[in-house]
Amino acid sequence: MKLFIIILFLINSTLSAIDLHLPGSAIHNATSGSVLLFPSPTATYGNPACRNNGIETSATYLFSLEELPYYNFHAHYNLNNIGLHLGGSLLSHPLYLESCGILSVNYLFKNISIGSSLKLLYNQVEKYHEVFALMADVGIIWENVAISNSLSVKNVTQSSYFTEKLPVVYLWETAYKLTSQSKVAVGLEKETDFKFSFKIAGRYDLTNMFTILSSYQFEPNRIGVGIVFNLRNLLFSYSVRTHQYLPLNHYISIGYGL
Amino acid sequence: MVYRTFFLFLFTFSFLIAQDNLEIIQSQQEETYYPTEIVEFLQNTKINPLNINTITEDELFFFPWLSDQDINKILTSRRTKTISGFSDLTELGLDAETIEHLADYITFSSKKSIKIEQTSRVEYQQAKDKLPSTLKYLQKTLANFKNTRVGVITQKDEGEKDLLDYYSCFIEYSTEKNLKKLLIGKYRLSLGQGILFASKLGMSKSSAATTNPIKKFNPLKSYTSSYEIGCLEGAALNYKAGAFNIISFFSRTSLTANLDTLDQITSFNESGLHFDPEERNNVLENIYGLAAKFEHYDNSFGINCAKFSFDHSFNDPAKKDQYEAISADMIIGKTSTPIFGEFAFADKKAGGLLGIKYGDIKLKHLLLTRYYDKDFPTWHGNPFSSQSNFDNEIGLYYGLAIRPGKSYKVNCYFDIWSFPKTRYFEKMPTVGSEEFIQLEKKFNKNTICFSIHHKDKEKYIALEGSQIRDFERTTFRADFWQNINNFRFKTRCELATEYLPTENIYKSGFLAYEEVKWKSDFLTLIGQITVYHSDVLHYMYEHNVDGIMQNTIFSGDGIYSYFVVKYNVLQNMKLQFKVSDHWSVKDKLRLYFQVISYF
Repeated sequence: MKLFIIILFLINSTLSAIDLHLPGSAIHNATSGSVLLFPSPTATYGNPACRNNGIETSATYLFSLEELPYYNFHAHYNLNNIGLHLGGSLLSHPLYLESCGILSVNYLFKNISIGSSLKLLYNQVEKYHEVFALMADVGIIWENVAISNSLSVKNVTQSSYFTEKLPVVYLWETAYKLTSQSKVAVGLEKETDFKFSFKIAGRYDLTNMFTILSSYQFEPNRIGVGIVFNLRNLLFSYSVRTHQYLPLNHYISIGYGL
Repeated sequence: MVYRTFFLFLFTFSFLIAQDNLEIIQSQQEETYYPTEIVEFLQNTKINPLNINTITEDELFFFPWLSDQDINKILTSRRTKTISGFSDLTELGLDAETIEHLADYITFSSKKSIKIEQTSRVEYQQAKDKLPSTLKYLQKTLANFKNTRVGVITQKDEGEKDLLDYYSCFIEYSTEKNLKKLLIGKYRLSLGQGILFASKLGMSKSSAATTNPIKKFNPLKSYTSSYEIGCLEGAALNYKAGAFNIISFFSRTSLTANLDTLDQITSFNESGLHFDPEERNNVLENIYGLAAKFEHYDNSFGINCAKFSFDHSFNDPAKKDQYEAISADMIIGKTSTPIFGEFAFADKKAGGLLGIKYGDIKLKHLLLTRYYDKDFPTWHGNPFSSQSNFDNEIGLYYGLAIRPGKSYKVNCYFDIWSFPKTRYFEKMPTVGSEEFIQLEKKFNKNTICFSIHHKDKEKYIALEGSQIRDFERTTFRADFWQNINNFRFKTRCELATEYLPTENIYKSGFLAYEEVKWKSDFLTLIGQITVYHSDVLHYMYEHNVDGIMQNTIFSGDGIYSYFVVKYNVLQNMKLQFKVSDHWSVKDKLRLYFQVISYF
């Protein structure tokens, strides 16, 4: 029954990845999509201006449903002031398939980074439709010693699926480093035809190797919690995020920071 | 009215007050109901300070400023030598701030061997003066003699004829040896996270967002409250052997229940009102059990088990008249990153709670998750949940306390829950959530505070056909606390809104009050005037003669005021008086008079 509801939801969505706000990694699942709280290569998926060197792969069963696996792979490399990102996501079901390829470029000028992503979206509903769309995101990040700010706009090209326009999403986030072990981030998200969504997320480094991440998102109301093990530059992260009506979303990621 | 004139007179002044620690504990800015035990203990102890050399471990536990390590230091030290002054406490390692807080409550020698505290209170409510026996009486006698404590509490509510309608009496013997406590009479248990046994008033979400909502309680305590529900009656023994603490208990209590024609229990009367003496205490409840706790450094592990039986069966087949319950509780890393929880099985149903506190002084977090099966027996428990009957719930609470600077505090909590076994056709709510954010700024002795509280839940509402509807309530609040010498001023402006999104119905209301408190060594005067203009309900806590903040609800248009006088006539006698009235509503006058004597 739950699977049927989700499939129906996906089919009726103009773009599932946006409507469902699917996070790209365990860290983003735990932090409600914060890109400033904990550096990870997948952050560029949320804001093209993010410049976290490394590779990361993530997997989840959406809402604990084995029939709905969702995979992500992202790699980012900074060459002097220029950063390049290549990544992709895949949501797979025998009746429904959705994938997204992403290519991003960003540039660092002093403490300001600007970036842009090009996304190729593919959506297939078995015996119903098969469609491609191309869209672009832009982002900017300004970082100071203790405070970082980020703004991104997704789908600036206002691309469409068939005749229906895909939503434009604005994401603003500020992170504040309170102590050497603690960091807090707050954010606002606005998607076309939806209410403002408020987010707050916290990070606590219990030791050099072990970090706890947690967050709350208002509209829709969700709590995310996760842990990150950092063995040298190898990152293992696991997180869960609630949904008011559906089961928990468990997420695992493995990454390597260059 | 004289008191109104007097209040307006007070209202025009703007002078100042010394910090009142006791009240801060009771009601800080969050104004949530803090459990009576600590407040009651501190109030009494301030008048009759306790000898630090003979004070029991349980009593030390009540001082909110003492950590577990501080208590251990005091207990260990006094086994070998007498603590003779504050300098000894400093030598033990207690910090200056803690000693300053303790100073009003402790002595280093005892003058009296017997101490008696006698409280008598009378209440009158104009709205109930048509009832045959209008006045409400309470009397409480507590006597301490060396290691023995005896208490008798009686209460009669408005409309009840029997002066002994409610009574509680107990005898308690406590030592610092292996036999820690023996209690006969009415008592209260508070075990683990409160799933099986807890004080009924011991849980609240508050602006102290990273404080465990389950308050700090003594596991076994004589029942000194006049709240008539939830106590045990019989005998309990607390035995301590090394790191093990064992409590065995037996209870045989009479309860007032509503019975159907087959003499089956349909519900319990939780109001405490017994207008018909024949229907009082018509059900017998038997409980016996054991609670064992093992403490090792920063960690503790407990197992609690009990067998419950009633002499009547229940009307609801899901509730059994006999069942066993067992729970295991733990706290790991109490002083670093505590992980705490309790997991229980009762009547073949499960309940559990697990929490973790982490972070540093500038950013603290509390995560707490709970799960209770449908029809989990909840009668003596009161763990963290979104509702009073905590069965059929799964939820997650996230609290954050941020201190970006010395004078700033941001507290927020977020709680989401669902009722998983509810089916849609049952017309019951399935989900809910709550958000609270508070920003507090201190400057000199003053505090300014802004808070937003939002609750979004499904609720059964009758509107052109009764059905479950989404219901949102948002409260915006601005508070200003000002301390000027002996005066303290509290100003509040509150805007509350309620919204039914599906029907697009929007209601709102406004409330504002000014409270003035003046305090000297022998006299305390508190006056408050509240103005409200509202289509929704507003909740406000007000002072009462018993020292407990009382909840008042407002709706409509009106002005409400109250005035409290606390006068220490003699060193051993306190007189307390309160009058409250709604100016625009008839027959709402309430009077309270209380005398407390110490011998």
